[in-house]
Amino acid sequence: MSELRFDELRGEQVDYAIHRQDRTFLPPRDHCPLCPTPAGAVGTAAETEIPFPAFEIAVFENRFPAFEAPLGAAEVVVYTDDHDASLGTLAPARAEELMWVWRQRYQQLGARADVDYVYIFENRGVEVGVTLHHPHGQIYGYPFLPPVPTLELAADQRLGGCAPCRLMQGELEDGRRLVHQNDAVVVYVPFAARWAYEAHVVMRQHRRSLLECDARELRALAGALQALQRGYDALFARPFPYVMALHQEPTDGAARGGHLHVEFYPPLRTAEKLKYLAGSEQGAGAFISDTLPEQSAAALRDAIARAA
Amino acid sequence: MASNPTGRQPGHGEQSGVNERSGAGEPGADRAAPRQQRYGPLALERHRKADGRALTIFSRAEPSPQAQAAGSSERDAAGGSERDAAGGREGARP
Repeated sequence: MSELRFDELRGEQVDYAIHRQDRTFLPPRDHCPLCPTPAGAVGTAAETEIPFPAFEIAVFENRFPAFEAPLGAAEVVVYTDDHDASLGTLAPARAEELMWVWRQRYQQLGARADVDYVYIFENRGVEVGVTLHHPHGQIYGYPFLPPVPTLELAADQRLGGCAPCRLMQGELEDGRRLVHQNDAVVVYVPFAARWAYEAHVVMRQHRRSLLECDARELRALAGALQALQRGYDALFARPFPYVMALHQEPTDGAARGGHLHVEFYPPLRTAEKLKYLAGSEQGAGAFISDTLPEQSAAALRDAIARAA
Repeated sequence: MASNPTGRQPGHGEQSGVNERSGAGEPGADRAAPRQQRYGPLALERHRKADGRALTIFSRAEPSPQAQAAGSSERDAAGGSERDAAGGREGARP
């Protein structure tokens, strides 16, 4: 069982999940716990987390949860039974299914009294700490409102309305940092990006969560996410590591707002060099960036076009 | 208190609706006969792993009657079938 401690100095919760020290760490391919279970192997040592010889999308409770009832939730979302796929290489119909899965999990977990914030995310690449290569994401149901969503709600207050709506409008008017768009979604490198190739995937219309999106918008969201990921992989002609974070309305009952958007934080600043969070970022909380968002956006725009 | 976008209910544990097996929570209870549900264009099969953890398999299903009836405006048809199965506890909109 995890233990929450409150850091009075920073005003933040810290989660101690010490059982996670023993979680599966970069197993060989033939021991991947997220692959299908070979026919006839159910009940044997070869059974994986998914005891079927084939599947489309699977969601299960994390064996090594950072949060669990009655203080939150931790789930694993396996995108496909193909070990070598990625979000970007999924068939469009499968990517669209994934949006519905996320929607269903947001709805189910958000309805729980012990889940104040449903956080859907993906860590891709060992550079961001991935321990399993099979294409998957995770969902944390936080029993508290985490700092970043809290800051976004504060931005709404500061700007006198929905901050993502206003920022997206500014990006559309400026145009220099746009990298992709369709009829329901806009993708851009934000004006004050922290990471060299950070990108925000934002719903055009004000949608507080996936629950407010219709089928057309979910399809468009899937298409934009895939286009961006394929562009990332094309940028340096290599699998592009990132953290992908869905931000939506909190589910703590206060209903203070939110605007569905997906933020990507890629640690690469060149094909070989990583951006590390060092003295200024960790000790002072101030990001120092080596690249201008306008230049990154131009490169990413070209990469997305090449990968299309 | 303002409403919750997900129709939050008191108490712990997931609200999976009236279709949840009575044996849920017992190790291995749902391995033989998974509970099947619909959600938008998806079919869900709810299982319970041998150690008691929940496992749901999602796959593409034929469009629901609600979704077909809604035509291009599919927003509320999306969670409709599961909302109905849950006795109205799910699918609340802000």
